[in-house]
Amino acid sequence: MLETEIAIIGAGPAGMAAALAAAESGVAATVCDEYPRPGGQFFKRAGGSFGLGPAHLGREHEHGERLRRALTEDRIRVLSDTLVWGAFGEKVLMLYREGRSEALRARAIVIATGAYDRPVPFPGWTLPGVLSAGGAQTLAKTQWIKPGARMLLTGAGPFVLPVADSLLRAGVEIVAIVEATRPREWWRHAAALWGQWPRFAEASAYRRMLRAARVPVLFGHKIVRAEGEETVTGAVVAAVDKSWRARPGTERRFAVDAIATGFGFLPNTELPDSMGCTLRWDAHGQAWFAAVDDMMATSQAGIYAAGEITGIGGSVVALDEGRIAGLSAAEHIGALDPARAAQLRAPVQASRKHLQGFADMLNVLFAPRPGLWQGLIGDTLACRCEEVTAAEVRACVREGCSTPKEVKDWTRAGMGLCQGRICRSLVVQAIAEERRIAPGQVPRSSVRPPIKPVPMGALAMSEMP
Amino acid sequence: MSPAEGAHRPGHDARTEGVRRGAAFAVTVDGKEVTGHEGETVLGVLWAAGIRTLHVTARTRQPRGFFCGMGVCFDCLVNVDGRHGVRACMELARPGMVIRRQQDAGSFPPRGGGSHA
Repeated sequence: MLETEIAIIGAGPAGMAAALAAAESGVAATVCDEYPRPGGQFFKRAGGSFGLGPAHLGREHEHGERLRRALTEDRIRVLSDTLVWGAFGEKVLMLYREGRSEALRARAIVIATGAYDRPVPFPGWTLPGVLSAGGAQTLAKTQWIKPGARMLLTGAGPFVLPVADSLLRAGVEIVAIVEATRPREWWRHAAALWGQWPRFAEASAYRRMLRAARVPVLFGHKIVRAEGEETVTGAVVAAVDKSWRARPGTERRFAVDAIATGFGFLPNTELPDSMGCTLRWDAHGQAWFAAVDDMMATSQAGIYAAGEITGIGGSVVALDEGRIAGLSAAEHIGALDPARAAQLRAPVQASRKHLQGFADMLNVLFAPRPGLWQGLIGDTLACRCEEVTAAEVRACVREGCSTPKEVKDWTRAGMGLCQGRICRSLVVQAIAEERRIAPGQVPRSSVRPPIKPVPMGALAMSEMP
Repeated sequence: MSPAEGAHRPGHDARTEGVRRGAAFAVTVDGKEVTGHEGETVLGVLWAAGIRTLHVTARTRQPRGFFCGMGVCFDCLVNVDGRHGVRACMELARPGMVIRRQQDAGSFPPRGGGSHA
């Protein structure tokens, strides 16, 4: 069995910051990350075999490199290509790496597993070439391969802008960015902008980028259909009303060979959930997040959570949260005395509060509205793995299924290899709509390890705690 | 409907011009030779070669490509060197890899075909 003082799950901004804070406190930390190199989604980059020039590197590149260099310090052990597939007993994590399963025992745990793009169904959304915004960005930014030659980006909020930046640098022609909100809806939130000056610099940099590349932005529109037989050949968008329902007669078609959708994020809460940590429903984000206090402590002693799984805040908030969590974990195991830990946390807590205020404004402004799920009907798939249509899900709810578990038993929706990561929010939405309740009132399904598929052979060979 | 002009063409290399890559090597995809570069994922090699249908679904026989690109959705599953259900987006390509596209989503055990209903 591997041993460590603090185990950190996820090497994105929050996980890296937690590891650095732990090391600074003189503590040995082990970072487990499913990807080939640290950075998470925000700081992801191509491997060493790619030769890139300054024109290829985004604004965040240098910061990511600094963090990665810092992670090489002696007290930090980084296990890349390592899946944490479950947690057992008293802080024992089960890892899957290099084809085998092994255990890691820690005295404190920081969970920083991040988030992924919210799946949004519409006719054609399973066609090759319809991509999540993060997936399109990953191919462009880590592989320098164009997801499409001509692409349309559709979504809500500023998170599609760094995606557009990566796609343009990779040589993709973006025919339009289709944004569901309208600028006139933004002004009533203007007060929250006070003091957020670095955000203005970012916004104007992105505006210059779009202008230089002549990318039109179509406000108050959304995707309604992807066209094509074997792959995407067209995107149809329409103007939306205040609830994001498409207005009849406003459809426009763009000839594109790929579409990326970015309507916010869903957190990877399987691990905190399976460890018994309390989750909280966020009515704006329409998702369950790990509940934490201002020390980033979950409801379970010695288990901390940081970054997007505690609420969507972006990389700047995640860096603060990771640092707070790392300091708190170091305090928990006795490496920092409480007074010193509080002193080190205080300025970071103040910064986090300030930055989260801005993120909360974005979360409200770009929160999904009911029309976003307008496409969750008929033959359009709700569950991509098991190919269960929205009509099949709705029919079984009308016949009496009231929980995702019952829908799964009845239709197989959620039984596939993604373990419900893509369909669960859609099943919850269908249940809520059919039963006329809020999505937060739909009972949650339980999480069981392995939280991602692990070969039976590896499990059979593994040491169990 | 005909594909948009200048858009996706099978056989057209989707790699960004002006980016230096690692050493080139050959892999096979369903028996056909395709070029990969050190540092590219299986997904990258296939997508760059214009291969967008990574598997065909079991129930309705529909083509699927990749969706999340970060190991969450399990849509990009392929058979690599005899291993069934490998996430193309998470697997580095290596010289001589034998990649086969699957006729189902890599369910365990693999479905023989037809409906599972």
